[in-house]
Amino acid sequence: MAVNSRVKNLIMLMLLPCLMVYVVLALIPLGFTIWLSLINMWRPGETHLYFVGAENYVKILTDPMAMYSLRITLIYTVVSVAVEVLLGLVIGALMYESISVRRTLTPILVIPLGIPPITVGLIWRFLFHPDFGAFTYWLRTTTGLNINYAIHGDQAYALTIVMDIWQWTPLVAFIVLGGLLAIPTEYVESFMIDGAGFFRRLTHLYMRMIRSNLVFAIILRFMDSFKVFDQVWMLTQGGPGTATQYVSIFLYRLGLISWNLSEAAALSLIILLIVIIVSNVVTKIIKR
Amino acid sequence: MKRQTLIYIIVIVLIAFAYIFPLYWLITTSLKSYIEIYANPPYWYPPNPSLQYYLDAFYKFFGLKYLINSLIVASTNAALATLSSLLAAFVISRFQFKGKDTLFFSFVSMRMAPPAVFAVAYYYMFCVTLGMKDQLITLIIVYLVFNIPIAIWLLLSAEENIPRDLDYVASLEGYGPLSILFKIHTPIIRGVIVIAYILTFLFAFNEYLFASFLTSTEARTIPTGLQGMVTVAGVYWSQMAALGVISALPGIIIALVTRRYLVTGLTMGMA
Repeated sequence: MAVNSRVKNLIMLMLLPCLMVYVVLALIPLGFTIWLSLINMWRPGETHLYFVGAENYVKILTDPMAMYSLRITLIYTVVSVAVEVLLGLVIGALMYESISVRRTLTPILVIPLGIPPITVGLIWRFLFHPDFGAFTYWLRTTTGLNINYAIHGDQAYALTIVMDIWQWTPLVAFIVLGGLLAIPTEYVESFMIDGAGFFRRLTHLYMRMIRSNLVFAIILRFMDSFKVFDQVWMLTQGGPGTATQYVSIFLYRLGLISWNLSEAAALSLIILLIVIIVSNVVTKIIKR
Repeated sequence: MKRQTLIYIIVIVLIAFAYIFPLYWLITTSLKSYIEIYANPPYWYPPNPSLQYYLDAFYKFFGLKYLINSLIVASTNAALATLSSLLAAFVISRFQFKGKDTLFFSFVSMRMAPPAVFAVAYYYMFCVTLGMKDQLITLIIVYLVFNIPIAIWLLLSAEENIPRDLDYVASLEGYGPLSILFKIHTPIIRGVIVIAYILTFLFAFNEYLFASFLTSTEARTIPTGLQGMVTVAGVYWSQMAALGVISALPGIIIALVTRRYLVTGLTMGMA
């Protein structure tokens, strides 16, 4: 379209709302966070402010609790994403191969994608409540296993991973299905004639054909699981002890409960850096 | 019966159970009394179902107020996000200027950071500096940070699919950019605009973390209200379950209605 000065002004005006949001909700907070991370705002109402250089970064990087929360978040993410991709592949492939499976499962599998994560936390709280949870009862009567995630850290940790898998495996399955539906049918048919079994088709045909979709699903889920907050906050608030104190929860506590703003800011920027590096590396891999 | 068919049936039954039963358990919990909830062995169905706990959740625990707040925030925020994204997507799609790709990437990247990263900054900006704590307008503004990226993704790809010849013909007819967008493009992509609105509505409705520290009593939304009941829940499980059901309803309905597009929205159109 032709651009004269009147149109130029109009363009600016039309971009203005999004630009303002970007400045107010991304750039200014970023600048503010950088500033906070360089000063001594270690408790609320600190009036004598001065620059401390890299001190906050050093403190965070040598803080065992911060590093612990980063580590358990990483393990949480890797385990959840691995299981989600494996299950998603199988479910997606089954939905691809049978139209009736696809028709029946699609409406069921979209449900968890719409539920607020905080409600997912509540649902699993009721399923595994130490006193009246349906699954607690079922496990106790069939296997004699006593579940009490409010006391046992490892159970709480496992439960948060189960919640992530429960809510997001369907998304991976749909991504897989979308990728498979885009494969030209000749390829699949020739493979079918070969008489290859389901798992052989899965590993030798499907996984190769939808490699880029799989990589994308892994990144997407990785970035999202890394942020985990809501459902864990509802279920355990990071406990028992610090068993499920994932990095977002640690950050939230450090900033908005302990009001150690400067160290929280330093940790925020470290997390942001990790996210940026991971997403850049990954997009490069995808583009290749 | 063929072995394959049997496997399909088993898979369907297992998955259906895994997703329906948790919801069923939430719903039955909302229909049982405190004593019935703690019964051992548990009641697998509510013995005396009553909607009393929904009324309690609505009125005694302010669920109705939270629901109205959530609806106001989500509908307004979705409208703002969709409209501003539509304007920006049109400009990015139709005009050549320097830094265009950077601009688009900047808008989309707002969604990448974990929300907890900016929690402290938002708290200081909106609650301390601007004195906007506990106001719906604060949530309406802040939620743009994750909704504009989604809306702009969806709308830009829709814009890109509109043939440019159409613009040319329209400009010969004397249409300016704004009339091209609103009189010609908008009717063509109205389906995508509706989807963008619905999805941004959903994400705003479901948000918890920002609302937890930007609101305290008056502007509480459903997710924060739900979390707030944890402290008293030792006594009020049924009411909490009732509010949980209400919190999940809009999302479930939207998911069932939009299906394919929900997946597109959640993957930002990249898969």
